[in-house]
Amino acid sequence: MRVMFRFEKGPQVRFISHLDLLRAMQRALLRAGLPIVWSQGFHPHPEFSFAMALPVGAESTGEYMEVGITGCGAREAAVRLGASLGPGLRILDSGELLEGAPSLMAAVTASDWTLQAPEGLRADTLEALMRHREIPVEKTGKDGSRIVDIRPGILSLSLADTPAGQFVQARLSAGSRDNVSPYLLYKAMRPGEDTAALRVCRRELYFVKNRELRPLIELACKEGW
Amino acid sequence: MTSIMGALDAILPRVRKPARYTGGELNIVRKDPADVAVRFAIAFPDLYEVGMSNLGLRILYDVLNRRPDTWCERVFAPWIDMEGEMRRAGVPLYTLESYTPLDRFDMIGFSLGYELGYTNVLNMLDMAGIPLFAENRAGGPFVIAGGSSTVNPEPLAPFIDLFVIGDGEEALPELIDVYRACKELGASREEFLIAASGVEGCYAPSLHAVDYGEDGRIRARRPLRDGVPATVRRRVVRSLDAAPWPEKPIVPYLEIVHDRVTLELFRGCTRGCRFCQAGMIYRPIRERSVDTLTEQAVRALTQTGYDEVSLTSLSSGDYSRLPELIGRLTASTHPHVSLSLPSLRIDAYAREYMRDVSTDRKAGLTLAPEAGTQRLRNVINKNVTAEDLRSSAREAFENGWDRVKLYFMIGLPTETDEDIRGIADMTRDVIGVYRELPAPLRRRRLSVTVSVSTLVPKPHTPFQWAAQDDVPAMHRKQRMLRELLRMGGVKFNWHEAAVSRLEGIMSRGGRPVHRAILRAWELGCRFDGWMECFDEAKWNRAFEETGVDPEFHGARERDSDEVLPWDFIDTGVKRAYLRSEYERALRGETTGDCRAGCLGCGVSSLLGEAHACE
Repeated sequence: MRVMFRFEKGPQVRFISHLDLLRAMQRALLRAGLPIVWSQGFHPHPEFSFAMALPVGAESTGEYMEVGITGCGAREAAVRLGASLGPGLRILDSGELLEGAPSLMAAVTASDWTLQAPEGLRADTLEALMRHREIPVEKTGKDGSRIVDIRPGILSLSLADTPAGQFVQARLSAGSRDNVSPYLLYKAMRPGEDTAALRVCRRELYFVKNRELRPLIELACKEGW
Repeated sequence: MTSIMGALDAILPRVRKPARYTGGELNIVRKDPADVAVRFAIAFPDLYEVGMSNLGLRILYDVLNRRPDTWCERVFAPWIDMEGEMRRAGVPLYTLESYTPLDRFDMIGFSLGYELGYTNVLNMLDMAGIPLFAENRAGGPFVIAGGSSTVNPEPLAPFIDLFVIGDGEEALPELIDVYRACKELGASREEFLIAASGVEGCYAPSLHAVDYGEDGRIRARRPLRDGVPATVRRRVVRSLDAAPWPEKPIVPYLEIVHDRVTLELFRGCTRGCRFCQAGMIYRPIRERSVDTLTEQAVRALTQTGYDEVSLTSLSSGDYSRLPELIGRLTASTHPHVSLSLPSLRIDAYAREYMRDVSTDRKAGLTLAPEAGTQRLRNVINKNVTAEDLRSSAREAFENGWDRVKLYFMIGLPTETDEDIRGIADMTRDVIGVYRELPAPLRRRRLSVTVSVSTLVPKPHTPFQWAAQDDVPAMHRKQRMLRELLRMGGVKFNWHEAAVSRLEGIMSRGGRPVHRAILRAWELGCRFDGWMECFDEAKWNRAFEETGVDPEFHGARERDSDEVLPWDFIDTGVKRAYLRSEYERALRGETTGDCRAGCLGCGVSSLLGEAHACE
């Protein structure tokens, strides 16, 4: 049986890398003593995978992973795993993936983010940005930098005023097509500004069902995907 | 605390592996500062990944935090990038548990396992705003230090208020009792240090003067206050079964060097290899029982979620009930938990267990003949033969290993070019054994890594009087080996000669060496054990500018009657015994394993009259 968990990666563990988090989850699964499915082969490891890596420094309330488990329901697994997690990690939801459901990684098509707004940003600036046909941004990767157009990957933008300050809420393409990172989006709003210390939080991951974006947890819903 | 955390938000995204500096791991200990009388920071002068792999640090963290009156936290050396960011932002060095600046602690305890971390000690004190010299500390934390390299505490003496020499499990709690009593009485710093000198294993350098002759050699040492013992006896925990052990080990998020559950099968070693400091200074041998070890393993696995248990000690193959232990561990743990047995010796005894443990054949098998000829192995008392190596290798290959690491040393006393060539001969032998195997067992190409280190004569070993090779001699032998080891599938690793030289100076140096360490740190030296940081030119300049003679404190041979800077530390193993072992070495005579019969090294004197070694 494939069990999916939605979990939180809190601010105190936001500097833990994706690989470190994988290891931490594996150990939490072992501490929980859950009847997990082990891979075959010379170095057996628990069968589990994450929906999508989170950049180091980002926090999230919308992380997903799936784990092969036998002989224990999703709810019980969530309770036991939740109790064995270290500080900063919290299980928010769980469900059984239906037979034949795609892997979480393959299903992800969009993500919601909250990010610190550039100082003095106005709502009409965001609206203007959305009217552009192209938004070229310099992307720096391992092989130097190049210009990418992030416009196709920006699905919606809005500005939220809160007592803690101004935040941009963005729905961005995620996964294999038109993937846009919140850091590139920020660069589009404020070219030249350093984004290293930008605070970002991923809120949700989505898959497409009947041409509509649905939260990833619904892959486990009764009516299926 | 909050101001440090605020500053870190801006700093951490810019540094490599920020999780080194954030703490918050599973099983760390948090207490309310209002509930404790003593705040202790255990400081490790190297990276988080190295420090968190240190068993001593983990044991002492646990021992101190068991006390309701004490909160022990951790701090590691920030890497160069983080140091730069912290200094720019004015962030002082802080502990990972509570983000408290180091200067607010009662005590800072450095764990010193190797000499190349000494500049990091100074750097960490400086980053905490703590005066480097003990005599300049009017208030603030006491800076203490322990660990294997403190069996010669002198090069760091002026910087440290108090050394704790030997096992810390009992000494540190006693020291904290003394500290609390002194604090309640309103005692001065010096009064505390005098009182602390009464705790066995404790040494306050400021209470001891050293007189030098005109040639720079030590003429005499004397305590400066009444009641301070002239000789400092190493602290020894008598029973490891009764000693505390971390039941809930911290589980780092970062991948650390030894990322697994560690068991300490025993402390001490009976083999008597003459170059080996650990083999001399951790005597006598003290084993944990199979029951205790099994219980510790099961508990640690449950609390951590690790899937590997490492059975460590100086020579794990020598554990007297190894088959029983492996059987019990296999029966009491999940089938996916693997056991690994590092530091295997290459005699018949160890080979029996190859099939049961260390199924990680990818990691390769490590064998340490240490010297290239039987004659030289007799000199260093490494009692294994070429035939032992061949049969160990054969056994390993037959069981599926195709990667072998061979460890050798150069610069050993009496060494000739014949011995250097012997290293290549033994390597060729191992390859030959592989080629003799039936073809189905040789599916992959054999990979042999030959790691050749350079002897650094260490205090409290039979080689403490021996000359160390100078840099040109090391280079010549390394060049020779580079030529000789041009064989298919063989990779040759060696130690940087200048680093070995520096390690030698800090290992056998006296108090004056502190001036060079200070100057080198001022010139920018830190992380001297890391090749990307080690700066030979700066060290040479430090020696020149301070007038500290590197040859005098380092490589030179010592006379049999010379007072050595560390003679006043009584490790239990007597100087006369070490001297006789040195002389036997020069004659090529071996000495047996003392499990077979006491050789009178003297360590049983530390255990009290009625005790003999196990």
